Amino acid sequence: MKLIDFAEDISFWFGLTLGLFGAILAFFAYFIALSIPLTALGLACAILGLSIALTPSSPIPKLAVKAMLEGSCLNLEALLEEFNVEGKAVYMPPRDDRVFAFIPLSSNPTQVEFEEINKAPLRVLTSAGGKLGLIIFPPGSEIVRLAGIIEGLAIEEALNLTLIEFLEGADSVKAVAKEDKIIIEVLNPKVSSELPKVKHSLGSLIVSVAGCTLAKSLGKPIAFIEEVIEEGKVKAEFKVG
Amino acid sequence: MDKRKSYILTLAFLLAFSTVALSVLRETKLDAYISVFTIDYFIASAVFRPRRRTIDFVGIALFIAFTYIVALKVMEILIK
Repeated sequence: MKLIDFAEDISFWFGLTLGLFGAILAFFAYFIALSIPLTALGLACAILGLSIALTPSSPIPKLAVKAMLEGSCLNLEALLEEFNVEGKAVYMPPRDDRVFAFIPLSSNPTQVEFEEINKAPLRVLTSAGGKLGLIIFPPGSEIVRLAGIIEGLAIEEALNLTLIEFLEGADSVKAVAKEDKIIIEVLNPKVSSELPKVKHSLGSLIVSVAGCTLAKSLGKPIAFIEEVIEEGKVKAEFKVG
Repeated sequence: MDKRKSYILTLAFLLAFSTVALSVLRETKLDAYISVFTIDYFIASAVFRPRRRTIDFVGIALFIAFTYIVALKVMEILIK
């Protein structure tokens, strides 16, 4: 971050002022007033002020991030609309370091074998085991890569890293694995998209990122089954391939 | 409330509480205050894990001060 970005953040100046005030107070209290509690109060102010100055209020404007994410979903919506896609996405473990999703064109005729999808050429319109479908890179694939998710990470830890710490897209996330199914519950999601095709095939934005995270951390194909949006939370179900 | 606000409020509360509590207990050694502040700072940072603009030099300074205080205490005990 450049100095000019620091200057534009009012909390930086507030923190710096508080820190300076605390340092001066501590100096005078220690050498002139000879009061240890007052010196400690000055030090406490300095620590708090510098901590405020060091912590950015918003590293990237949240609205800009939201707009970019929703913008990328608009392109996907147009693509899914164009091909009249009815199927649900299968999030595949990374090929060339990026998670991708295969979405069969038709809804549920026969189960597409996950291994066939893995062998399918990486093209927009592709065929896996004789079944036509789209291969796309959802917005979550880049998020997962940048968040540094590695294969073998526990699912809840991986979801926390991407959805809460990296994206700051929700208050909390829980995950339960039952046999070959994974159910996740995201509390107070802060990013959403009202695009019907994307929502049907990939899940809402936060669920799509969760799908990518699961595919990467488990190293297995993850089929999106359904999502239920309730007051202040989203529940989604995935099937592990 | 977002993570940053929670972190700052928690840190402010911990520092204020520690200062008042030690003052009420008539603590007159500055190293006791600094040690408690260091613990407060690292507890708040570990719980909320806030993002930083640069390296966490406040944490580094507090850690060095804390290490110095502990080293002095250990020396005192060893010399006795």
